[in-house]
Amino acid sequence: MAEYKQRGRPPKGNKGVFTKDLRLLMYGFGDEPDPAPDTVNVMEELVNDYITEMCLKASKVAKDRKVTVEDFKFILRNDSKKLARVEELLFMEKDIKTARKTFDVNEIEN
Amino acid sequence: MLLDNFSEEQLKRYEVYRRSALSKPNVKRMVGQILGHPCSHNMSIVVAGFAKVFVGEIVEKALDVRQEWGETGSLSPEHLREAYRRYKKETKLTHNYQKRLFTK
Repeated sequence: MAEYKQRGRPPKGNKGVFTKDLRLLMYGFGDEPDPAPDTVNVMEELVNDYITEMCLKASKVAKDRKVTVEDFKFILRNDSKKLARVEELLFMEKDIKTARKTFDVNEIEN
Repeated sequence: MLLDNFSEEQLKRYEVYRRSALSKPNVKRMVGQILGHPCSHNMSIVVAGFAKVFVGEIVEKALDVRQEWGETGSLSPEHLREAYRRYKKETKLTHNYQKRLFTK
């Protein structure tokens, strides 16, 4: 993955896809309430590169199959922090789904 | 109990920390484009999830860098770049350890 410094292309103007979200994320993680626009642009590049790299890794693992969530969990096997977060999110999502089902069943019964 | 002792500022930041995320539709679109097939609902949750952790790791390191350099104010691109350099170095360590098992 190319280092940002070695790229010929400067940050993409004022608005990236994730600019709004990244400003909040950066503040939440400890930056000033109003992060510097240049810095947010760099973060956008880092995040885009990171997501791209991870998706390509997952593709390699999946080979001819379609990529699944299990492929992402596999490539995160050495990254305990991120893997733990992913498993937590999937567990919560399962919970939400079950809760919704129960709610719908109750609705029908009543 | 920890939350009871938070200042106004800390509570505000904590709420943003909990609630902020990369927009799921945008993540879905991006992942779908890269993979060449549709990104499922769960997959967008997963990718948004670990990408958020990634941002956190970079910002935390950048805050350390800022402090080491004796600077104040908003994080600068240089802080992020140095943070990213350190992040890459750290991630290489886990891979190298595995490789060494099979070479001299």
